[in-house]
Amino acid sequence: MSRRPKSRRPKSKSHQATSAAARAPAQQVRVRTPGDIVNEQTIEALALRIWTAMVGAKFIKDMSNLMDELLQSHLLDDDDEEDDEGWLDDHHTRAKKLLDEAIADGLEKYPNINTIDNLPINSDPDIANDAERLKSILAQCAIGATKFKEKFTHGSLERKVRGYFKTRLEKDPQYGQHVRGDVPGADIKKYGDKLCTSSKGTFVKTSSFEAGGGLDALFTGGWLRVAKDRIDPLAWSHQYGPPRKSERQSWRHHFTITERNGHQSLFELPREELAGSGRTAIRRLMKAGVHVVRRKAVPQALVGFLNFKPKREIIRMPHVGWAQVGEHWIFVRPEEVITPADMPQARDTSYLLEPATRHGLHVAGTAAEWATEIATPLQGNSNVALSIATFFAAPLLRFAR
Amino acid sequence: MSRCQSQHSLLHRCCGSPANDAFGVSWGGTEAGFDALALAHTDLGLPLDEITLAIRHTAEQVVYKVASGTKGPRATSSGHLRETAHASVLVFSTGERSLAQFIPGLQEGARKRLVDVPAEVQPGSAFETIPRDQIHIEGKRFFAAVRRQHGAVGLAWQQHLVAIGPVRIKADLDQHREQFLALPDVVAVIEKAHPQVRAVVNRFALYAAALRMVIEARLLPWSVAQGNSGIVACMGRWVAQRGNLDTAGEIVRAADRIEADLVAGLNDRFIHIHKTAKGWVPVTEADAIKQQTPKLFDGYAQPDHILVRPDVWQGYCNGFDPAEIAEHLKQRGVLIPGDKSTSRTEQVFGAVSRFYVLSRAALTP
Repeated sequence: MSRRPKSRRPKSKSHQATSAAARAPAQQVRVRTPGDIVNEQTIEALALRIWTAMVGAKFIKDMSNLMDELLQSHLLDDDDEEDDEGWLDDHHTRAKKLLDEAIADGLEKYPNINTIDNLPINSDPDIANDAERLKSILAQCAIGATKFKEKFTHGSLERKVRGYFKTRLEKDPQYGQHVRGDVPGADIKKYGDKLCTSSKGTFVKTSSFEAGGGLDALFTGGWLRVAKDRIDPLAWSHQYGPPRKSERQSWRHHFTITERNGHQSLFELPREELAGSGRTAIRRLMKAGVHVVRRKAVPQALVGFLNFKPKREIIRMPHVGWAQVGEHWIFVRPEEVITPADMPQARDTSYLLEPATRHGLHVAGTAAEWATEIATPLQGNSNVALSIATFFAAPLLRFAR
Repeated sequence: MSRCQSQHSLLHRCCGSPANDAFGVSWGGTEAGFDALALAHTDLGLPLDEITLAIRHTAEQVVYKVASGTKGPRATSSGHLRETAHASVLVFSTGERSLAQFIPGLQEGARKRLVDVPAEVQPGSAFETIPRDQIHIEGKRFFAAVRRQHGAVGLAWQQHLVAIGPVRIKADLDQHREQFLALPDVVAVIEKAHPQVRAVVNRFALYAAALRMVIEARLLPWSVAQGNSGIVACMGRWVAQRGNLDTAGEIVRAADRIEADLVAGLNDRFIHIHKTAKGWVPVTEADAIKQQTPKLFDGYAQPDHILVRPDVWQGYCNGFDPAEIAEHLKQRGVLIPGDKSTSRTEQVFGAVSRFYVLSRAALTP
């Protein structure tokens, strides 16, 4: 059974006027004017800024060791011998604990607006100015008893302190140079708003420091590095033959892996391996030698990255040689697929031989040079004619009656 | 094709389409390996070398598979028929020993598809323009040239074929094959040839047509006559080593082989029986054991006759018309016909069955 809540409908103007007239003058509540409301809001904003500065200053002091650790760890300066980045998770936990302690301490020392009204003059001219304004407005609007804990949530206080911390850090001559607004590294390529690669590896956008991210987020623009190698999505692919979306199909993701020395490799990932937690896909990446970062948030973020669907589509050909596509015949070679000039090319669609069937067939020199250096001197030799004819006849066999 | 090792390599590397060392493969692989290899070389051509490295049984299986281009049926894990890959591949194999020498009992169908061409065109050399004592010098030069130049002409050829498309390919191919088949040297072979021989000549015509098309595409700086004469010369060597080409000659050769096979397998492949007062009985204890599974054997050996089961007879004929072979052996006096047919009804161990009956005395060992 539900109980019907009492009606809280606003009373009519005439009813309010009658009630007010009936009260004793001392008991009468003065109606807040727009000016009062502005003053109250200004006081709250100024008080919060000063409170944040007080708590933030302590937090900065507490965090200095962690900051130094972070910078000394050569963050993203990938040497030949390098540690895993798993320690950053621990680092993040320690920073969060220090922040919570600083806020708790601040709420204890400065529980309400009055407690920050009588502080000594702050060395920061902005804060000192705020304090002066606060004092002046508080004299007109006595809301000094307002408690920070009741007025603001812990989350909003945390965000304020984090924001203050970042601003201060940016101005700091030692740390400021390391604070970044964007992903680290050069040659940045973005895939949507939340995925990108750069010379420093593969990144997924996560929480910024202000929004709850770790201290390292200040130095990575809030981008979480998921792999130290660059994993650029290339295409999705499917088999030639079976219908595109049938159970006989086998879709794959194709990526270009770029190592820090610039070496590139192609990497294929069966799409079904991304199902569930995607652990199999990560295992396959690691088998391929991709340096996956070991952090708590990485597996989910990395699987999200691997799921990206580029526009380009590849049709995987099962074997070399002729294949019919619609009314046209194409010729599949290990390194390329030859298509007729008049064949309409679907945008962003290309053909590729299945890697398992690639074998030999390299090209060196030119057809004209081959003719000059080999075919001409060997003319008049019947076995050579038969040998050459065998390989020229091979692609004709399909059309021979 | 048979000739010495360095010449094999040179011939392999002369080819237009082939590429690096990974392209040429020796026969010394497994059946499954060759399945994959054939698929990887579909429409490209497959150079093979050193047949003597192969296990004979494996080589035989490979020859049949390559010749037919298909694999046997396979099941999926759920018991359904697995889709089998189809490979369309032309093989160019070289070796010290010919395929026929290496696999003596090779069936006629396979021999038709993998044609033996003796490579020697002058003493000690597979090259008309390079005498034996010059081969190592010229070989070095060509090996170096081939290392610099390989695969490009094959690519250009494939690009040309894609550009002209299947309709023109078929038309050109038909036209050039007909022109080759009309050459006097070729007509001379075809006119007296057995159908199986004509099938091989048609294969040579495919090669000649390919050369003519490549020449027409300005990728091969030879004249059409040079291409033709090269293929005709190879065909001539194949004809010479094969011997009888005409129908009668083919049947004679096949009948000779069947007689030899029957004599060679008489002890192992037949159940020896002799007649007693009780009727036909096994000669030895071993024959009595054989008689428990008579279908595993080719028939019965009586003191004067050999009785060959009709289904087995077909196998002995190895691609030739069994009736034609039986008729020929009848004319030789080897086969004893029935009243209305070349096979007879015989009663053995109480059962009446049809057999091809051959006179043991008339068989040539």
